[in-house]
Amino acid sequence: MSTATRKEHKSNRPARGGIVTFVEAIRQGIWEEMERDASVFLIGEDVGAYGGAFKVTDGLLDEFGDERVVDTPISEAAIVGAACGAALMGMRPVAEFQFIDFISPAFDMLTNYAAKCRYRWGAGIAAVFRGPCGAGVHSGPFHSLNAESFFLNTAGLKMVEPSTAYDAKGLIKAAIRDPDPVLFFEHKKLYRLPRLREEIPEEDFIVEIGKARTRREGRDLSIITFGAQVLTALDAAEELEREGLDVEVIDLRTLAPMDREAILTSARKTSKVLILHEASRTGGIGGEIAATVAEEAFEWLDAPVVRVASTDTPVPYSPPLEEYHLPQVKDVLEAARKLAAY
Amino acid sequence: MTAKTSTRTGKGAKGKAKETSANDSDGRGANAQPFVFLPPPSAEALSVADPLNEQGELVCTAETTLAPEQLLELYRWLQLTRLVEERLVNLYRQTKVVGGVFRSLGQEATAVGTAYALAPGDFISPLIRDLGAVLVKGIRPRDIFAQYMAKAWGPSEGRDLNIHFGDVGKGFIGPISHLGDMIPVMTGIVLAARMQKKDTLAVAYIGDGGMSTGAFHEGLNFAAVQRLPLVIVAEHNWYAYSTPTSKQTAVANLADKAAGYGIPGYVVDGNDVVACYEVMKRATEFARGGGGAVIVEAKTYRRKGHAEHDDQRYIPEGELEHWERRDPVDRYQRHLISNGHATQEKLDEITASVRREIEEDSAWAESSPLPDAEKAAYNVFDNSIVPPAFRPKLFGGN
Repeated sequence: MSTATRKEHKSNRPARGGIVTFVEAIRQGIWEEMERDASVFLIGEDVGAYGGAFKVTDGLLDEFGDERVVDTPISEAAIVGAACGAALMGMRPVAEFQFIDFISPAFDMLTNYAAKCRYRWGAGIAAVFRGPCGAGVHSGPFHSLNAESFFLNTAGLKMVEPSTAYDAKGLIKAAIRDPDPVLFFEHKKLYRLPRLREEIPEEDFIVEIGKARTRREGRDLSIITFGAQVLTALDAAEELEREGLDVEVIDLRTLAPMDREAILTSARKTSKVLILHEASRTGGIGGEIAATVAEEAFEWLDAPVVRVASTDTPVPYSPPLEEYHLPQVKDVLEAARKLAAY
Repeated sequence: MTAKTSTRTGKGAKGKAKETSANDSDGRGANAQPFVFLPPPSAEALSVADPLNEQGELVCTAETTLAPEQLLELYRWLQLTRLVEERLVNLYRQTKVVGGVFRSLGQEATAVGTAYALAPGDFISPLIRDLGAVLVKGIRPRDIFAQYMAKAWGPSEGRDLNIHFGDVGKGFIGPISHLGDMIPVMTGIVLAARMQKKDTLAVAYIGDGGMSTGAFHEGLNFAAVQRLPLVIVAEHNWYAYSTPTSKQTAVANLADKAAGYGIPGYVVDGNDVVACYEVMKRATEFARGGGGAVIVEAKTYRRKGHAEHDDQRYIPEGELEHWERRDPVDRYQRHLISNGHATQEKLDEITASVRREIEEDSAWAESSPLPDAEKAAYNVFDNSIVPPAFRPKLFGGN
């Protein structure tokens, strides 16, 4: 049978820097790292000819060939396990989950193999495990997951979730160069969001893993958040400003190891802390942040630490249901006003 | 739609008599049946011949490419494996081993024979019952003793137990307890080696129990699709803890599973060290030569319980005695002597040198301190980037 495909398609090499979307920033970062280091390779489902479900890896097969852009069977445990084995051989795998929801079949490989290798015998697994996370695009219970709290209690996994194009590129490059396993969460709602288009530098840059970023300075109240919820926080902060409240927004960017200093500095500055995340509330990462603030900044607080998060249900499909489930600007406003008045 | 399309079966044919040919894209021949039944593989367990010597005693296969000195080396590895384990049992009874001791009694030939067939650059991921393979790959008994005794000088510095460590330079990737996980990992080893243009082969040891895991399937399927040189040594030792193979799988031979992956399989007497070596030679040649993944099923038997604490209450009467008569070390010793490869004196000399090595290595490991408690905080991440995970001080105190 002919190997010719139905559609001839060739994607161009991305520009270096320039005005980019979030997805293009990630693609640039991966492309540049593959050019820089021959040990970087991609592995995942439909990452080759199709370029990935969200086209993050578009064009990479043509450029780097099928030895470095490996299409796999539907086998997340095999993808993660093979990435671990390749990392032990000195390669730098970038493994894709088509949706972060499909990280669960690889839970064992990540938590027991990738996470513990360095601790057990000094063999760090220098690998990136990336994929689209998050809800708000009507994808239902199996294509909307935010998985960070599943892994927060596992020592040995770094977790990153950017919210700007600049950070996305700088962090994916830092993750690829990191000597330890990094889970890299990309909120799918951000991929092509016009609001996130921004000019990024032409020259090589990274964003250090483990460092939060203050997205908005404020004196009255801190919102600690990350990922797509940074936008919710910024929108809420703008509204609150009109009401005379000066809100600080901290974008964690890295979820593990968490930048506790940045959280505590902001908490001590504003004395009121609101934690905002998209995963369900109970057992979410917000609990860990709240406990950190309670233990380390208690004397500085003027109000209880509050959490705004998704409700404790699976992510529902129908728009009104999903909207109810997810934290909205109005939920942040309500919580912030109560906190301010406390 | 082109004219060519209309001659195919399917949408274009519109119920007319179909002209089909063998190379049609849907693969249907002219006499295609509406459905085809594929029978299950035979329920018969495959067996291989029992080689006997002139006295009618069970020995090993005589057909071998092994040189005389290699035959003696094999004997040394078998004895080293057995006697290291016997020392571990002694240390366990003296409470110097802080965890469990897992024996490979009766299975030593599988581990030693298969590992002996590998090239220095090849990788293995053994099971706990493959201590022999670990030793053949160059890990010293002292490392094993130190690991079992949780000592600071052990390769994992007290952080993990028994053979749960690795040495990439020696081609040894220690397993984790989730044994099926090692199949994808070893697939990754050879996937990387192919990118690095290395002639590296990987061997993943797995048992009748581990083959039931999902990770085994995912890993082997991926290796088969990619035609990677991965040899699965399927150790059919009849028990996964207390569960017999009959409750683990419906196939009669673990090698029957190869069909599901489109790969070949071998069956060998796992208690015949020479046959294990020879079958592995062929399997590795096949895999290395571009054939891709292959399963080698070694039929053997676990004569001890899962670990030293296990009283084997689930074993049928007479089973242990049957397998004692097939003991791989005794059998190989008879083989060497009755075929004139060695004298009893020569074998005793080898055993004495093995005992000396064990004495020395065991003393070395015993002399190691236990690790400093605070070392528990190190090496979660590269500590030049992320500080060690010390127990935090409350309220910033000391």
